[in-house]
Amino acid sequence: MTILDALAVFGRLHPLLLHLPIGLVAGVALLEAVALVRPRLALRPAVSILLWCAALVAAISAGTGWILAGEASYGGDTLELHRWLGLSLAGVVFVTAIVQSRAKPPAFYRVGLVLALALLIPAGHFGGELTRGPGFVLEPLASKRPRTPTAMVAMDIQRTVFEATIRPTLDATCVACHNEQKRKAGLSLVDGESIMAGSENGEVVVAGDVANSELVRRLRLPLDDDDHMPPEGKRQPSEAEIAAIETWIMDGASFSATTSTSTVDVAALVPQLRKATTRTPAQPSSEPAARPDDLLALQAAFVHVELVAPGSSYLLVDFAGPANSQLADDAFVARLLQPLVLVVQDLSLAGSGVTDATLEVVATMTNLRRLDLRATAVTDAGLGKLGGLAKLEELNLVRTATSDASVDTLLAFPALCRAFLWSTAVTTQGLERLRTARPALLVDAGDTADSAALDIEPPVELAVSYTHLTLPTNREV
Amino acid sequence: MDPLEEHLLNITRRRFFGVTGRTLAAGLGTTALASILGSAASAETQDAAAQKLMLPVQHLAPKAKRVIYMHMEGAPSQLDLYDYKPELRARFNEDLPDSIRQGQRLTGMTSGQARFPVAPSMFRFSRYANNEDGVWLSELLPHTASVAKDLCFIRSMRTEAINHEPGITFFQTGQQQPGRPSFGSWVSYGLGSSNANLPSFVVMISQGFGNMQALSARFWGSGFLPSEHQGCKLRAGSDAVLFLRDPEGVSRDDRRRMLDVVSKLNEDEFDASLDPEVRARIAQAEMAYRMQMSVPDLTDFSDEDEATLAMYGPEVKKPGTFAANCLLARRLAERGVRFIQLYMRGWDAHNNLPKEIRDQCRAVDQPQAALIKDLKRRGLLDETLVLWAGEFGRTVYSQGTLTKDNYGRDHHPRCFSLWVAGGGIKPGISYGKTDDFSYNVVENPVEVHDLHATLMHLLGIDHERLTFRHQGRDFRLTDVSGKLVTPILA
Repeated sequence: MTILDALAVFGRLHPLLLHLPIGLVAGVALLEAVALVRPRLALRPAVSILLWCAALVAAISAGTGWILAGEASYGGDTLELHRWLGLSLAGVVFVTAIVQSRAKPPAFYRVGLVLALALLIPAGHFGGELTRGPGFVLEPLASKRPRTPTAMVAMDIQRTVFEATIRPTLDATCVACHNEQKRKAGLSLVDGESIMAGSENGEVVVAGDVANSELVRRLRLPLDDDDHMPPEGKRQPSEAEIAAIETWIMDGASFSATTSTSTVDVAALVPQLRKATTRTPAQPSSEPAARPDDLLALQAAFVHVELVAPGSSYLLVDFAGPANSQLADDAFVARLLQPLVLVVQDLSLAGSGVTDATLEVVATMTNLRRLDLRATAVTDAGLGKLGGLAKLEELNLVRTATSDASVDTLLAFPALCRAFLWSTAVTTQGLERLRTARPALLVDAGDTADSAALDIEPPVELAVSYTHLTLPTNREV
Repeated sequence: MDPLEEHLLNITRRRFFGVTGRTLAAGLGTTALASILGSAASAETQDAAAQKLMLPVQHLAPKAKRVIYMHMEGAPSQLDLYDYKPELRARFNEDLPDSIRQGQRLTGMTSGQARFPVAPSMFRFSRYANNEDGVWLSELLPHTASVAKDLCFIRSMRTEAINHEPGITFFQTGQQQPGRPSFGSWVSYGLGSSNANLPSFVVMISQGFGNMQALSARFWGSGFLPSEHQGCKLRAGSDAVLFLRDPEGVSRDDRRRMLDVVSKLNEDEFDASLDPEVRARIAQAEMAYRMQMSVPDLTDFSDEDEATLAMYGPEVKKPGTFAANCLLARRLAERGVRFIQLYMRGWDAHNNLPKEIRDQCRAVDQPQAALIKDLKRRGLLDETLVLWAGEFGRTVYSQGTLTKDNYGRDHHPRCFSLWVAGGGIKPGISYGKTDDFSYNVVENPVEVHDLHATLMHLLGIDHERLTFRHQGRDFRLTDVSGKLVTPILA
């Protein structure tokens, strides 16, 4: 422990000590007022004692405040106002005390008291704003008014990813301390410019590099770590919110990318945010959600389950575990999947004993994006039932009995972009039809051509004569 | 923290998470579940489920679900396979310029040599079409060249180690000194298995044809991670996993009853000692019981068609060959095993490199290309990361006698080549450059930790956040290094 550490402790007493001069100065003013009206009460000695007490604690408060301002990561105009108003207050109280303690104090010393009161109010106010955030007092009134948007928001679709997903989190958890007025650690997080300007320690967001983005590092530190932000006891962002910030940074931390131009699946992020920030168990949610018992049932049957992405409410379900046993038949799969039809996004039934009967269950999985039916007994008829899968992007039918009859089925999936058809009964004509009908659809039937040799070096001829070196050839130990 | 205090806290934490929860899974499960269960579940049921559910660590949306890592033990020569330096032909037997070597250290095997004569590769190279303007590859790898448009070649790898043991240890564990968990163990620890009937980390070894170095089992060890995450070695003999079969006269029901009793005893032991290794033992016994069914099915190639077998080459039916192991790797990938590691021994060509490398390449070229093609047509390459790498490179100068058709090469850590393919990797590109002598990296150096970080990233893991506290500090695969190699990401 150094003397500086001890001083820092002293500085941190400021929020406690500052209440003493407030009370005492107000008390002196009250007594003085009473003394004016009732001179016979002879309150002067009491006023004198209190005034000296006030001068002392005001000086101590100012001193501790000065230390705290230097040590903690405060900054900005509010701090400077608070600092000089507080110092002036201490000075005025001190001078007033000296004047008042003269044998026959001049009447104008009361002007000093009025001045002290006049300084006390703004000094206290700005001090409060420092810890509670700007507009704290009037906030209950302000929040009832609709907030004026900071940027023009014409349609939801044209909002930037930042405005839609990142800013609400920052506003709710960070901006109280990191704003333009009160730049703790020199950092403001109110808009793109201020975020990229970083803090007094350098940049806080490195586009495309989550690992080196101080903002995320702080959020991810354990809660009891001194560097963790927001500080312990303040509102913490949810896992989904942090994950959204990370995704946004990974994607380049753009402030201009809109929900329609960004590669980030904002549609997937936003509902998560909404859910994470306003989680009220009483309200029935329209969003699909899995019941824990259903997931436990999957795991008990050795079926693998994970989230498709951090913070997502959609599942990847893989039957690889039970697939090669006799267990994994239609009834088994249906029993496990039936309760989860709305949340499964990635389903692998490869190698299992399922038949067309299971595809009737799969057909109700409206959020399904990837379906792996490799090496199963499904047929064209079964695939025909899957017409409703509007979001299906990838379909693996390798080593199934799929034939040309399924070409139209495949073309009917509006979002399908990858189909694996190696070792099926689909003929070259069928593949041709698929590829011409939808060029954007990647059809892999194991018929990809090898990489061709473009240049072949002539046989190597070394135009140099033999050289025999007689060197020791040590073998490695 | 005071060790005693930590121990006591551990007790309460374990009690809290209950018998069925794993510390890791329970802690992670809670946060992950909050988002998935949403408002459908009360906080109470969420906590209860979190204790039981085991969900993988996820920091990012994963691009790949598993890894097939072909480790070329002994360090193949980049000069004779991937790093085309035709200008060297004119410098045959010239002394390696000091401006290139810059006084850097050599191994004890060549530091005493009077000269360092440049030994250009005696093999022809050809340029193969990829997604850039082609890639020059040696005549030793014609099959691999045929899948060039699926591979991403990195020619600017660097490592810190100059000898095999520390070199492989570094590549496998991120640290030259033994004792850290291997790459596969970290992945197993972070992601678990997607097939509960097979281990999440499987290792297979093929004997080589050149100079071979020892392979220690700790290369796939779990270090301080719970030991159920160590690599499970599949053997080439009649029993792929030793002691897996029930002895004569013991029925599967008997085995089950025995396991139940032993588990009960082990649970009592765990309650008394709180040693997590007891838990690992229970888990491994249960895994072995399930593997009694799953492993014979895995190693039985009778359901493979002839054309597929032919694709892997003539040696595919001989257990333990690289061809057989490549096919096994595909079968393991299909069954959802997270981390499949193939070791090919015999690349340590200090002498007689041309003969040794020919034999080595004959053994690996066709099977590894077949593996890529086979994964691709099954739709698995998109979600499987394939890595082909040695532990370092080899010198441009000859070790020992240099003749027109014979030379040797010493260990060279300052540059080497490898390739990666599959899930999330940009296909058909080359990355990084070496100088004219393939001695130093001149463009886009990639460190081993960088490669680890990048592969972890594609698996959905932030390498800086997957840590394990051991002996008072948090450890991770990439230690204090590791930068994403973003240009190779698709």
